Amino acid sequence: MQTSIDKPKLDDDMKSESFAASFVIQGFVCLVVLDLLLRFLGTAGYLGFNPLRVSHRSWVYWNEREFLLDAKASKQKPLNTALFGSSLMMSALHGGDAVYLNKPQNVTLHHKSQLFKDLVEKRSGKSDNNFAFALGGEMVSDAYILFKGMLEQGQGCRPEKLIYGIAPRDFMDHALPSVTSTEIYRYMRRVTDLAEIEKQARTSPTEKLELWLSKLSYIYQHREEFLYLQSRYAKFICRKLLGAGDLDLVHAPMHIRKQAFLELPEDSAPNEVIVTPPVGPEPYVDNSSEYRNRYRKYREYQFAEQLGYLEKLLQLAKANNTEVILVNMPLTQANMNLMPSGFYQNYYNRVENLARLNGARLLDLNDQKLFPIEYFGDGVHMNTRGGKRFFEVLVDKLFQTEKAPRPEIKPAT
Amino acid sequence: MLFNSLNYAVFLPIVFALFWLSKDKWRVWILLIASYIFYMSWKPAFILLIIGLTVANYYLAFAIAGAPDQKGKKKWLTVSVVGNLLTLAFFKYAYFFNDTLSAILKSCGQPATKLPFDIVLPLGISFFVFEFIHYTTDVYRGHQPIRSFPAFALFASFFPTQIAGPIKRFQDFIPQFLAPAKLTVKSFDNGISLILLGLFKKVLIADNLSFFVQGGFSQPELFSGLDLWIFAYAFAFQIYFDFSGYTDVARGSAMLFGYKVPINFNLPYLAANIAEFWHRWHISLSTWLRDYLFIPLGGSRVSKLLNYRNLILTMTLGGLWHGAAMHFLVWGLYHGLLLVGHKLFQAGKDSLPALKNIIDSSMGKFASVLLTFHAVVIGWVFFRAETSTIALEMLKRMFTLSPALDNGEKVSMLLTHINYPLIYPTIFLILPVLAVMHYLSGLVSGIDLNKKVPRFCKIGYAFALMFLILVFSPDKSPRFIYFQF
Repeated sequence: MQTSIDKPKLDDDMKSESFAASFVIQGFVCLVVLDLLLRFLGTAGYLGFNPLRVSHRSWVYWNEREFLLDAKASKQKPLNTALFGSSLMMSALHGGDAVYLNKPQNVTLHHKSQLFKDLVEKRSGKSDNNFAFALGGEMVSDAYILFKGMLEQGQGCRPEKLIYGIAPRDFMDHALPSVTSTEIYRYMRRVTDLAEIEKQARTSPTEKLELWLSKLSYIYQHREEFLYLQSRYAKFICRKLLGAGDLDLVHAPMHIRKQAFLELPEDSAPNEVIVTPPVGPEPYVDNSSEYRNRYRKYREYQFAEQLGYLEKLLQLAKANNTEVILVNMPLTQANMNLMPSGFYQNYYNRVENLARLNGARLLDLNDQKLFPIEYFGDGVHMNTRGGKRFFEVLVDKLFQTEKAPRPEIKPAT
Repeated sequence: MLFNSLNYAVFLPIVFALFWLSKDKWRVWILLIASYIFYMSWKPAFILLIIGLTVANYYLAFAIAGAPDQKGKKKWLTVSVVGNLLTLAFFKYAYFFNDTLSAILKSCGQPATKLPFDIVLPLGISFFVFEFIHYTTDVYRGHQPIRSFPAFALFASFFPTQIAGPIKRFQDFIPQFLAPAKLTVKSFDNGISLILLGLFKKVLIADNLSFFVQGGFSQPELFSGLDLWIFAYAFAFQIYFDFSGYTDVARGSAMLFGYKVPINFNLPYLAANIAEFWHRWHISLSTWLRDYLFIPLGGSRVSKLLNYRNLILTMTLGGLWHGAAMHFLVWGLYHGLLLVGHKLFQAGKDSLPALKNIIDSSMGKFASVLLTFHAVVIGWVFFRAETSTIALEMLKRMFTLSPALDNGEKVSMLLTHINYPLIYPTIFLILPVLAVMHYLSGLVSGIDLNKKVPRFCKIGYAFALMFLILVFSPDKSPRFIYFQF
């Protein structure tokens, strides 16, 4: 028998007390009103969000900053070559120029390869303009997003050639849970329209929830703008009230810097990483434990997903008349030995097939005769001399294969 | 599932809606299932542990109550207490015991022992084991056991308090489960406000301080004595805002279901002596220790020496409850000694009226608060340091005001030379603001703000907290400190 106690109490309470009188609900309504107001102002163009105003300056920010400022100042002569890749390409870029120019290279600010430019100009007799989007940890999905972002800046920003240094890690990294977990993805969301991949890029329920929340709330979607304001005013207070000096450069003990790198969003100052020309033999650091973790568990889902982004990139390039040259980056045998059995061959075959199907060239520079161990600073990254060697070999191969007949397009097997 | 996660932001409203839309008789079951889901969101297998202990303690309580004589009751109570403590010891102290044994064997030239398996500490075990011990002990002392199994199971597993307390008392809690729940605008407002305040304390204050504190405690040898004082102050506020933030979310979440959970903090850094501090800090633990350890040991109704022994033993075991490490034990011992020192001082003070007058003056009270705070801060160094040796080394540097080296030059403060991350330069503003806020909270603590504060201020308060949490919650937030206990 149902008694009065069995009735849901909410109904009883709602009769006597109106929840409209709740100050929490009224506060929430204020938040919704503010959100709608900001959405209206944003849509009407009254709120000028600028992707160069950031609370933390990651490497992708420094890259985009120079690229966008160049594009704005029309300094960007027709872009001949874009150099893409992860830290493997990055170390070659900075090390190569450090040796070639015999000058220290500031990793934060150095985004154009003088060595590559001179080598190409010498071979072709034509002027060459390049820009490097080679960033530590860059996955294939990041490369696609960066390339898309370049194209969205207009015709002058479309590269004629895209030289993309790839390696197995870019397709399979146990340390990266999803496409959205990279700083490149997080930053580029503000620069380019990622609506087409946002849903599929988010795999976990939390990520999906976060996407839903960012669509629902304009404030949440534009958190970075508020974080920028917070850091700006915090710096202002530090300078005015606490007499802090220069806050744009980093002055901190190394262990605090390392801790920040692990726990805080990526933030690099222009006084932090400088690649200097070598003096004497360069040391070799064993980084096998790091790569053992990265290769730890082969996930076919992640590999296939990243391969899908490579296909997207190749198709986007084709549609925009950009020639893509994939460069299989040199690795040491020690690093190759850490990969799961059969993975490397599978990776190479599938990339080769995809390149063939989409009319891209694939240059295999992973050859220990070309790049013996003395050119490496660790298991995967070239040292400064290796960087110089890399660009010399690359340009050689580029001009050799340019003359060779293009391979026939064969269906996937 | 962390309170400061998006998952909880979805989980809580779903449970809230299901709870209030269902009939009274189903509500305990809904909360019980929700609590088990909450627990399983971490490591599903451990649900067997909490269910196993629940069933065992449920029947043991009946065995105690039904035993024909005192001897029989005591036998079943011993089974319960030993069983609960062994479970806790296995998960929490096995490594500690093994390491201690290994060290002893090593010193005798014998090979060290190694545990044949890995042990993962189940979340919240220290809290629910203490609740079970309280329950069976109180049944032994004459309270009636709980008849309703779901109510008892929910008492131990109630998700808002499951992981880090407050440690509940069944006499307060079970009647609330059994009575029809009632949702009022006031409890809704208070509940949500507490959740928002707790999240604010955790993600905006404690998490930022956490980064700063980690920098100092991870390599204290790099910093000067003055720097280390700043790190110690920062940790004092970090742990307070972290744990009281957790408690606020727990209490607020419980309030949304119409239940009251005891408070755990009452402006602890305004305590004028160490005994008062323990009446204001982690109240549910200190009262548990008083009722189930200090009093059974004889409490203060024994000789002075035994009383001091009881205080030291209680606090040392309380320290060890926080974690199986020597520095927690030293922290507990330190507080035990402080309590003994306080007792001795109280006795001396009463016999010296002039001293009593000075201490009772407003300046004397202010000095007492300052002194107590610093005594607590010194204790936090033991609590937070990786080992007690490091803690002692830190304290040595703090008291000798050792300089630090900056590019080879001796400086009295290295912190003023660090500009990154921004928490480093801003700490000199943040800590005084937190101290003043703590003091001001003490001034208004006796006032019923619900009645005095104009409505628009309350709306603004709720709006501001929601906005700040929405905007400034970091993507990654460290776990609550007390989750590890």
